Amino acid sequence: MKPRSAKRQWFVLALGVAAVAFGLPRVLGPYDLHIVTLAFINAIMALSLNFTLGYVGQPNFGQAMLFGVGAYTSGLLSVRLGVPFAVSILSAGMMGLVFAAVFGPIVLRLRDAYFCMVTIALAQTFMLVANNLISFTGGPMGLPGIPFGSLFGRPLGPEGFFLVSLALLLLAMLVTYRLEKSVVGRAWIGMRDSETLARSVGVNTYLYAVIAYIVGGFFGGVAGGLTAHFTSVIDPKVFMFEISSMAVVGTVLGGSGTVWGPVVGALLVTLLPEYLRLAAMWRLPIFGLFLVIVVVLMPRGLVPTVVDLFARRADRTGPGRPTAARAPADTVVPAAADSASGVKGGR
Amino acid sequence: MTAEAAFLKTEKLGVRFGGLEAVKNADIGLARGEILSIIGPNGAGKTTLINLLTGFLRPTTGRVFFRGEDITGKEPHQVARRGIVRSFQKNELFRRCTAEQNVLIGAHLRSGGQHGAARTLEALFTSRGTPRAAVEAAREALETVGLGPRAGWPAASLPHGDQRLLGIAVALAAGPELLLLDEPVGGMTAAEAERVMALMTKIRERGITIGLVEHNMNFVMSVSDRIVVLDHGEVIAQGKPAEIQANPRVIEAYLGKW
Repeated sequence: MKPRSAKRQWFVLALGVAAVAFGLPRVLGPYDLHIVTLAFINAIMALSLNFTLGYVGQPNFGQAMLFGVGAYTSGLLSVRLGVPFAVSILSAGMMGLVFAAVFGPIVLRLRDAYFCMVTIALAQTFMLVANNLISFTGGPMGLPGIPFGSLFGRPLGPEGFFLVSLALLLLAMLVTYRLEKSVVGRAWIGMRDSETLARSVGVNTYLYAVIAYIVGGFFGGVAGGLTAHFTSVIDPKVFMFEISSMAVVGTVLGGSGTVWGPVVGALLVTLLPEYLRLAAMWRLPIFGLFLVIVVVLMPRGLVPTVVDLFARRADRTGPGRPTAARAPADTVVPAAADSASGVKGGR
Repeated sequence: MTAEAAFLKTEKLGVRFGGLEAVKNADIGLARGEILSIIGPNGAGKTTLINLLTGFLRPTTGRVFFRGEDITGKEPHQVARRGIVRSFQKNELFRRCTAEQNVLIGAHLRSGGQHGAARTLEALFTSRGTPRAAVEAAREALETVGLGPRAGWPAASLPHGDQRLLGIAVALAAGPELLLLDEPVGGMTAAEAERVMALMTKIRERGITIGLVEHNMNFVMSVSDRIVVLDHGEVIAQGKPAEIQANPRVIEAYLGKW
C-alpha cells in the first residue's frame, strides 16, 4: 500500500461525499430526493445483512426481523413516549443489537439451508406477534403518527432526513470497512471459504458468526428506525419476507462481502424499478431480466467484477500474474458454495 | 510419571460409528521434537485418529493428553489454541483468497483472535491494526514453504503441489507446537515430495513436533523417527522405520497372509 495513493483515495471519497451531500438536494426535486433517501436506508439495510450473508457466508433470509424490531422501537418510543429523534434511532439500533444478541446464538447453531429456514421462520414469527399484540403494537392497523423528527432543536425537513440517512450509511460503510480489514473480517472471510480450515487454525467460528449477526443487528435496527420516521406509519409488514429478500437481492447484485457492493446493489434495487415506471407494465420484467443477466454474467456481483476489470487493465503491462479476476468465478450465493465438507458447524 | 512426561499421549482412545469401530484402544505417544508417521492400509483409521486428536471428532472411549493436560472433547479451535494444528487430506484452503491472505487468516491466534469481542471493539474504536508479529509470522510461513514469490496468487489458481504447500503454510502460520499433517505429499510428483522432505526437517529445526499420515513409503521411511502402524483401527506395531519394515504383522496387514 502506497500511503500517497491511499491518501488520494480518501480525498476523492470525501469529495464525492461532499458533492452528494450538498449537490443532490439542490439538483433533485422533492420526489427524487425522497426516492434517494429511501435508497440510502435500503443500503444501510443491505450492509446490515452483508455481515452474515457476505462475510460469514451464511444465507440469512430473515434480516427483516431486526429491521422490524428497529421500526417498532422507534415507532413506539416516539409515538407513546415522545422520545427525541436521535434517541429513537439510537434505541432502534440498540434494540436490533439486543435482539440479535439473544437470537443469534440460537440460530447460528445451524448452518446453510437450516440456518436459512430458521431466519425466515423467526421473522415470520415476529410478524405474527406484531399482528396479534394489538394493545402494544396496534396490530394490523399499524402504528400511525410517527413524527419526521427533529435534530439539534430544528425539525428535519426532507433535506435534513436525506443528510441523516447519508451520514448513517457512511457510518455503516465505515464499520464494514474497519471490521473487514481487521482480524475479525479475516476470520469471517476464512469461515466463508472453509469453516473446517478456519476452525483448525483456531477460529471460534460460532463466536465470530454471532458477532457478525450482532453487528448486523444494530444496523438492521437503525434501518428500521429510519424507515419508521421516514414513512410516518408502520405495520407488521416491516417483518415481511420481501424486506429480507430485497436486502438479499441488493447485497448479492452489488457484490456480497464487500463495502461498496451492497450499497450499489441496494441503490439499483430501489432506483431501477422506480425509474422503470416509465416503461409501465414492462417495469418488473425488465428489472427481472436485468437481475438474471447480472447474476449469470457476474456471479460475484457488480462491484467486484468491475473493480477487477480495471485492475486487469492496469495489470496488462506487468508480468502475467493471475489477478483475483482470473480466479474461478465462484458464485457468491453462499448456500451454493463450499458447504460440502464433512465435519463442520455446531454439533 | 511417564504419562505426564509425554508431549502428546492417548489412552485407550477409540471411536465407534454405529457398528464400526474406526479406532479402538489406541495408546500412542509423541515425544517433543520427533517426527512420527502413522501408516496403514486404506480405511485403517488414520485420518479418523487425526480428527480425534484435533477435536473434529469426539472419541467414544479413552482420553487425549497434551503436555499433561486432558484435551479430550475440546473443540478444534480450543485444541489449536493449545498448540496442535493440522492440515487436511482433501486440501482445505481459503480458495477465493490470495496465498498471502490465506496465511494471514492462518495467523488468527497471533492476531489476538482468541478474544473476538475485544478485537471487534478494537477494530471499531481504535486505530490499532494487525500486530506486526502476526504479519511477519504469516510472511515467514509462506517463505518457509517456498511460496513467497506467489504471495499474490489466488489460492484456487495455484498448481496442485503449491496448494498442498500452502495448506502446510496456513497451519504453520497458526504457530503450532505440534503439527499434524494428513498426507502431506498425496498426489505430488517425486520432485515435489522431495521438497516436502526437506521442509519437514526445516520445520522440525524450529522446534515443532510433527505427526503425519502418509501412504508414500519412500517419504515415510526417510523422514520418520518413529512409525505407528494402524490396521482396522488398531495399533498393530510401533517402532523405528527399520523395525517396521521387518515386522511380519505389518507385512501381513499390507499384503495379506499366505
